[in-house]
Amino acid sequence: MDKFILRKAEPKDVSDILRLIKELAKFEEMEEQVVLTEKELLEDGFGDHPFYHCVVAEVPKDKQSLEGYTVVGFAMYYFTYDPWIGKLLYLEDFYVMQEFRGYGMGSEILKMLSETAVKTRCSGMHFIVAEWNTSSIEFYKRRGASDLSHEEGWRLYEIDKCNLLKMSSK
Amino acid sequence: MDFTIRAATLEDCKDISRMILELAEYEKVSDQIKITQRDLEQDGFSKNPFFHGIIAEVPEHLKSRDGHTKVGYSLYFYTYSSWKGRAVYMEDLYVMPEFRGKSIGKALMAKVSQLGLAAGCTQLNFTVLDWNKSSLDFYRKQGCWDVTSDLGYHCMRCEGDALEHLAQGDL
Repeated sequence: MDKFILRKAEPKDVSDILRLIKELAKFEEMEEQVVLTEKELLEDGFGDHPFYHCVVAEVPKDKQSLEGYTVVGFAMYYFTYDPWIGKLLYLEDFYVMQEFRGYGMGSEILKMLSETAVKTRCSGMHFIVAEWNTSSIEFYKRRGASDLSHEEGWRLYEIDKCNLLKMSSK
Repeated sequence: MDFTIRAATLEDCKDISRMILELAEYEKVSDQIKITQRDLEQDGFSKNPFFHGIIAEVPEHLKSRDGHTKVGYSLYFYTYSSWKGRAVYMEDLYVMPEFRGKSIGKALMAKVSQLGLAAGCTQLNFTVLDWNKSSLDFYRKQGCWDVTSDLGYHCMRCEGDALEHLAQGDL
């Protein structure tokens, strides 16, 4: 499988992006947590002030997936800020369909993202990984990633909408 | 205590820079700061800001021992959850030690939540150091939960040489 292209996602890709988001969430055993819709993805990614950026991996029609898909991988990212070191690229989702793995697509996507990070003068790339996902952790560690939760003791916290409403009305 | 919470302006960058250093000293990592006041001005107050800031300010007669009226801040930006959509990330939250215990931190966080909700966000995320017990207690009281502990998510980073090598496709 040497024939695949990586390109910036376009509005027409939102259906495939949502499908791949759900596939990745299913792998993480979190499928029921995906409440995002195609409409939101469209508004939030392709409006005046995009909340995210996306690259997709596409294969030619003759190499389509068993179910007939040609968009077979994606990465969703956005820019964040660390007041100590400046701009960062945050990798929100990164996924290649099972049947298209082992052909270097993942590595190429990561390479493209790192080029983007370097070009936009980001100091680093951040992302989160589930601690049970040892194959992904190995993939990232091989590429020089360090585990901040382990090495520096950072823990990721969340406040959901219900508690946000409570807090904002105090 | 009499204080106001307002959006940060370009002129606040000097005080924000001062308080960033204070927070870094508290977290025992002040040698890691590479960002200058000028970087903050460019990155936060140009056409496409990379972050937003809010400031807690006290009146002149309540100023700090060193003469500062800007006594707390929060830096935040918008992120995106592929499961739930728009989210807000609170990067820094800090109140000078002599102004703690007066609900200023709570007010700063409430403001970030209001702004997040107004922008259509359904969650507020941030990270806390595992030894920072007083902050952990404060956040848990606001209804937060520990994603790292409960779901096993670890924060990872790729930077410097590793990032450059990755960009070149080296393995």
